[in-house]
Amino acid sequence: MILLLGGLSLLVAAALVVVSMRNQQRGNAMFATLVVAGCGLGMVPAVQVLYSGTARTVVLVLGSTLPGGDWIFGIDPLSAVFLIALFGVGAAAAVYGVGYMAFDSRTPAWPCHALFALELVALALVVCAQAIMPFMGAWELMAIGSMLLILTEYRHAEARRAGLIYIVATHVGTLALFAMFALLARTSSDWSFSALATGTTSASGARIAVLSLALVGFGVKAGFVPLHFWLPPAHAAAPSHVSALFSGVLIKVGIYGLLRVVTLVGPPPAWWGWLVLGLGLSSAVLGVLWALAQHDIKRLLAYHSVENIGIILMGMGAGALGSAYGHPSLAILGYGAALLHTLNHALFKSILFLGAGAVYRLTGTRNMEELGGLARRMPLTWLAFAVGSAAIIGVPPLNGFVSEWLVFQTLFRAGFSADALRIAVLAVPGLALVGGLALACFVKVGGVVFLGTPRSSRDLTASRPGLLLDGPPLVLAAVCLVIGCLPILVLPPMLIAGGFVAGVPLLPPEAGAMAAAVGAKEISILAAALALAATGIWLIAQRLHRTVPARQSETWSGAYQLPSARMQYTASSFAAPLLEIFGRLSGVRTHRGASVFHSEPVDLILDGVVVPWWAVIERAALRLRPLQQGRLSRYLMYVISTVVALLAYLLVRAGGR
Amino acid sequence: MPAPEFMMRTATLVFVMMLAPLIPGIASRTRSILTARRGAPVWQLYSDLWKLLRRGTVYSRTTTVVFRLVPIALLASVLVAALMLPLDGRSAMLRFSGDVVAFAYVLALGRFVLV
Repeated sequence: MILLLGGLSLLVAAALVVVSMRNQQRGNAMFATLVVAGCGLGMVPAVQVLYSGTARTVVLVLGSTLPGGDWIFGIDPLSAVFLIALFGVGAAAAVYGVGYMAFDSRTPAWPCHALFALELVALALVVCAQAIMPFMGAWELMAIGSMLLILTEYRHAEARRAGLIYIVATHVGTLALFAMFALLARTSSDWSFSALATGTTSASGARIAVLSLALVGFGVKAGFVPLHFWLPPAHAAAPSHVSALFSGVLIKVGIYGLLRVVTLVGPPPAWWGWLVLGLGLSSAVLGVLWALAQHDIKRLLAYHSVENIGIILMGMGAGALGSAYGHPSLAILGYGAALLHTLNHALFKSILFLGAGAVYRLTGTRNMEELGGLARRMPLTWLAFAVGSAAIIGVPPLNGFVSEWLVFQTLFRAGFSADALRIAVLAVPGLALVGGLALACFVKVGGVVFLGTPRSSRDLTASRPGLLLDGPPLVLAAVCLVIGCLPILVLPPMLIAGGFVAGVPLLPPEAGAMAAAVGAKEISILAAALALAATGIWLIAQRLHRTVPARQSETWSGAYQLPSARMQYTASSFAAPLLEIFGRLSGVRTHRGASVFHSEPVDLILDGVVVPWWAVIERAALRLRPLQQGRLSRYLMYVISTVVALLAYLLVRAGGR
Repeated sequence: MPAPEFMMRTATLVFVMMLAPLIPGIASRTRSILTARRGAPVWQLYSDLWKLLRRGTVYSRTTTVVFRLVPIALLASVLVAALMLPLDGRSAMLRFSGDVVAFAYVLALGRFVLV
């Protein structure tokens, strides 16, 4: 706990340094060093908690004169998972951010850096808070900090609109959270989470309300369909390292909140499990479908976050169903799968956002229709991006495979049970469809952006992205590979955390045995076999090449004399046949002509539901405007009438007793 | 795993890989018989492969290193997928809970690198 505090104070120091030494090289270097040191230091206690399995609820009580009772902070296995994701992504993104912001000379970098460090602190406080007041305080700090980060490039109208949508969406969520905590705190002695956990096994009506409000409040943050609408514009408009933090960590805080509520109210009822599973499935399918329709590479990645949140929710729903139907091992496996996918998604989505950011910085566009052939100019970026895309698709031997395979296993095991839980197995084809569509989508991104020849004459401002832009994603890619090849390293701690959520504490040896039982070792053997087979075949191919030499030439293009870049497959055309299958659901408008094919993506929820309703609310609000006209006498009258009304209420209530 | 059994299994694997080109051959021959065409002989794929192995390779200037790595990765993924099948009446060499999914995803790896 002291180490965590030390880490957080280093982060604050980093923010102070970068503010005091504005725009100096040395200041930036010190900032990056301090953030990395702080994140490293903060990660130590989280890893200790997770691997020992003992909740280190070392309580930090700030004097009891504070509002809302004691402000308690502590690390338990659930917070530890999110802390590790936060500090891992945070350190990599901060280093990258220094290089990324240096490209833009018009936007001052120091506010972004300082806010970034403070946002890391706020996020850490959210997941460590163990009482209502510090939680909500840190929650608001995080929400406002992230809005300011979206507004870093405030000169673009797009960023301003994204910031506005975000702040409205997040505060709707906060409102639901206030109501939820008010309901929870009604029956408990004080406002600490431990008191709430013992106090709320009472009325089932209140439980239903709490669980539904949690889905809305935390759902807005997590961004599953249909509450995802703020996510794509915000991710696209923010600087890329901030997008990585958003997608990797910020939206996961919604998942954290849902799991935390599960620990507070005990095993949720079956309907909640089914609801979460269904929301997860629809969000996964629709997310990947809408991703396929995008042209803006960062919007595409943002929709993939919606998809992956869906997969996480599927694991979570299966876990909740497991405990509702009385299968504790299924519950542990489901929650563990959700947590592992949370960590994995944080890793590989950060790689992808950082890679997309490097592409944007060097070419000046995020539109995939204008990009092409970048693999030659930025080979290291491409390498990291390829590893990241293989991981997000979930092919072995990478980390995405491990967690998706855990979700599959949970669903299959549910299918073998005797009760109604069996129906959960019907989610399997959905998950398989998601995998297939994700594959198509990343083939599109990787193929169009990095392979082939350049599509437009956009000059590259610099020849190479440089170490600051390429290093962090490559480090994350290495971590992805390690987790994918040696899942036994991370599975037991995730199962411990899953057991913590399910209310079935596991000891490390038990968790290790369970990880072995689901086949963690065989994954390593699989990875080794793949590597072995590939090397063997490569050696044979080398042999063959020695006898028959290879040579180079232009692509054979029928009878055309001059192959041009326009002859390549484009992103729109690649996705079109798949999108057509889904009809109106795919959310694209297409234009066809004799030699032109063009499609533009529309967000069904944002443009179809939220914006029209917003207009209705705005018109209603205009009706209220006459109330506010700046005359003091009017305002005094409002005050008096309010007091009178409240007194009348008290009188009536007292009379009623 | 004792050495003789390991040899046996490797031999089975090699045998399966050698046999694989026959399947499309049989399929296309069946189709041609059913549609009353003469069609290619069953051994067509073998002779194609033999001919291609003796030819040199031409790499396009627009392609990258991917173009060279893909065949290797594809073949490797198929080989590993074959390891996971119960081939010669005994249980498979690689066998664990949830291996159905792993099998599908190993093949997906091949698909991913292919396109």
